[in-house]
Amino acid sequence: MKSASRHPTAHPSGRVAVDIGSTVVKLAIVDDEDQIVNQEFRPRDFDIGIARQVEALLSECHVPIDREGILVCSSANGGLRVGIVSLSKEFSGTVLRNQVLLAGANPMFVRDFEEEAGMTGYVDMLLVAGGIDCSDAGPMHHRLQRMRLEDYRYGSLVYAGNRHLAAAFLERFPGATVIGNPIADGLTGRVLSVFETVRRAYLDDLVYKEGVSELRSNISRGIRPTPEVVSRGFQRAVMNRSSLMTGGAAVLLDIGGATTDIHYTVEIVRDDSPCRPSPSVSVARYVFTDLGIVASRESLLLQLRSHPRLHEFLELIVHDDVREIYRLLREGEYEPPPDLLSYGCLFLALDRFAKGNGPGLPTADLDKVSLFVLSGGAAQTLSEEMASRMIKLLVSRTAGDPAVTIDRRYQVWVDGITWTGLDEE
Amino acid sequence: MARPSVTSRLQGIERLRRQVLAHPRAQGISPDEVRDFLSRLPPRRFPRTAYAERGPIPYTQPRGGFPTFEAQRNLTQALSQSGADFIPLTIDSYTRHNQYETATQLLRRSEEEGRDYLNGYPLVSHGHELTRELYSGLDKPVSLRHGTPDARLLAEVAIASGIVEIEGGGICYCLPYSEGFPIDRALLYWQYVDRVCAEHSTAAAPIHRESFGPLSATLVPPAIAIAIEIIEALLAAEQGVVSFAVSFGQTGSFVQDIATAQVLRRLSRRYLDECGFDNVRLYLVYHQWMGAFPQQRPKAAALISGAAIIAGLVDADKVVVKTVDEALGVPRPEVNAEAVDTVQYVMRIFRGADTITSPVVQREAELIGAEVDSILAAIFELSGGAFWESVFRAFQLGYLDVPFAPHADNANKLISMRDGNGSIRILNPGNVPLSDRSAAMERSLLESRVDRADKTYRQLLADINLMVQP
Repeated sequence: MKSASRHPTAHPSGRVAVDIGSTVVKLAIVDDEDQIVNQEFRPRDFDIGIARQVEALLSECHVPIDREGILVCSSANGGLRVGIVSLSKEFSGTVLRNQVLLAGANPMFVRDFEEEAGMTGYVDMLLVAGGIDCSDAGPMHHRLQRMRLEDYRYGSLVYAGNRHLAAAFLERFPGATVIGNPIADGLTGRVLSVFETVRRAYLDDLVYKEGVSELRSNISRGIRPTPEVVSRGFQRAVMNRSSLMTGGAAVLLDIGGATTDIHYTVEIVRDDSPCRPSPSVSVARYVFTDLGIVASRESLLLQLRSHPRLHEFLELIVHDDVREIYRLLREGEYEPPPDLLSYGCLFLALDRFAKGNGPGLPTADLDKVSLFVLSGGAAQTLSEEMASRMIKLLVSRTAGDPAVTIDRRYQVWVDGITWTGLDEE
Repeated sequence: MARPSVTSRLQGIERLRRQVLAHPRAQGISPDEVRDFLSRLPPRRFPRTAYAERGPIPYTQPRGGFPTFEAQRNLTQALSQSGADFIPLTIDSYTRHNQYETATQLLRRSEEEGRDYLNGYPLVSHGHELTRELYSGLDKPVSLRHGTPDARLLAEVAIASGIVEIEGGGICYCLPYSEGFPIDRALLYWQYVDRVCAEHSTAAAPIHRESFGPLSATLVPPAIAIAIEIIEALLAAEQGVVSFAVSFGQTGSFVQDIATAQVLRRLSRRYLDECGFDNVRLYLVYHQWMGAFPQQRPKAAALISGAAIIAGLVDADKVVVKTVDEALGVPRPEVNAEAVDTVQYVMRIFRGADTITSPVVQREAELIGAEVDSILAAIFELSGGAFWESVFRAFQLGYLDVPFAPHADNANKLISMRDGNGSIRILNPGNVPLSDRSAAMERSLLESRVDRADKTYRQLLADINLMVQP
């Protein structure tokens, strides 16, 4: 598979980063200035297992397998699925959703206490929360007592609500874990207890399900969720701390097989957006769990087929016989090539973002964006020119021409995994 | 730990400028052409030249902005003829929030219907070529007044129009004006504005920057305002700005105003010098009362006159004036012109009083100075590869906390009230790093208040409405 190397052998003093994906394992060696000096991509080999594959890749790159400080991240298994049941969707539900997203996991639904579970599907974690920490919480207590969780299917149950009601919650659900209330003393959601808990669960999930536990301890010790790493890389770029200079409001789309993640600078959220990112974050993330080119292919196609601007979309990508392909696609008789699916993810994600069309998704003013970065495995086959034309479909004619960069070297990932952040610089 | 330094100067400015100037509303702006245009402006259009000629009383600057070109030209002429020393260009709210298309649509509607659908001049919509005509023949500085967290395009258009005093900053135009605009990005975007100002400056004709010290204009302790003013001066100096005005708003206390001016002037100079920015020429601007204004015109006139006296006493380089219609709406040009005349009259009558000193003023200045030093020392110690990052961290930690700022990332833990003399006191510093001695002194001075037994919120309301009480 692909290899990009400035030097044929590993930089002895460079840092080594590994990303364990569902379909690809990536390795990058970066120098002291975080420049990539060697990069290798390999398809996942499920026969030999992840531990042996990573060790083999390290050996190929002349990196001792017992080397300390190897940076590892993973989003294999599609990420942690989290369900949220909250006192209100607008306050506690929004805070929880934002913290789940920041931790790199996928919030699958937000329900309030009175709602039926409905067709929510299995989630790895069910978070229950609501109310600030006040002792006089009779109405909330009453609603907690009436709340039904029996119809939800989940792996673990976590309570992050009013701490004065934690005992009552545990009485009803003895197996639950209690963590700090993210809106303990106000509605600003600054406490990161949920973030830490979800992040830990994400990593435990990886270890349990993906065989990461088989990795040598020096490799598995510091493993991190890939979406969180990408988010840090994006944050670094918007702070002018990366070779990828954004120079203004920016959006990063990480297009993958199962999901499309959107990372954005929060100033593009419209003032009248009903949903907003958490206070105190300057870049935020949203995950479209139904947009991806492999595992989510069917739901992607379903949305594309019914989109009112499908013909305009195809006119940009398909050069011959657009009408016929349009007809076949509408009738479900067309097998689109991977690049069309990737453009589909880009188009639908941005279109929905501009309309706030998604649970908990803010409404964005795409006219304010000066740079779009496309990353992830499914973005590698796209062209800047085509993507730029597609984006123009979604911004007003009077807006400036935003720049489009395709992150072919996975620079955002490398920036994120190597960045120690403001705190430690 | 990151001290202000020229090494933090924004890199790759040419590329960033190309990106900003690629906006359709920046069409026709070429840095070279702008440089040439600026070189042909009358020298007195530049604040440095104007300030060098200042007489014994402060310069005056009203506020004002109308949507249409004609209305703005009439205002400009009226203000200039009334003797205003600086001419304002106040920008509408949509442009402040980068909603240029909405501003343009409402401008067209204002033009068609003859009614004002905007609360200021949509500079980006009008463009630089037309706006140059607005000031054709004018030999006074024009000041850009807005409130824009991301003012990159606006500043480019302003400078291209010949507006060479740019008010604002990453803190003072973000915290009081926005609920959710990220502070880190506002700081970065204002680095751009400062850098562009520096790029267009020459030794004789520097583009002038001014910070907005009143902030939320509601019970902001002087130490907080001064610390932020100094930070913004340092951030601008890092980018190469060499002409800068710090400012503060009338506090409501005679003693505190005089002490604040002394400390602001002295410490701004000291910190700039200590950080190696002794080439920065510094000026002091005083804002007349920015809080809730009396609706009765006689009372409003009295308040404006009182503020004019204080502006003279603190020897401000410029005073930003209010009008008797402040509480009633956007003032008409003639009301604005009257305000300029009144303020100049009062300052002339009461001129000559050298800076007043007294043990009370001295004690106040010492207290404020110690607090500012303490806050800045703590910020300088914060982690970060550049000074702006330490400043950003300071807000996250609540080291900088602006009372009543609407921004979601403001800590809102500092509680301030007025003491028996009307001075703003810190009842609870929250996380603002004050020494125990300063905090104790603030509390002890607050005890002088006779109505301490009243409910706190009632006291707060009374303090906020200080100037509108019967």
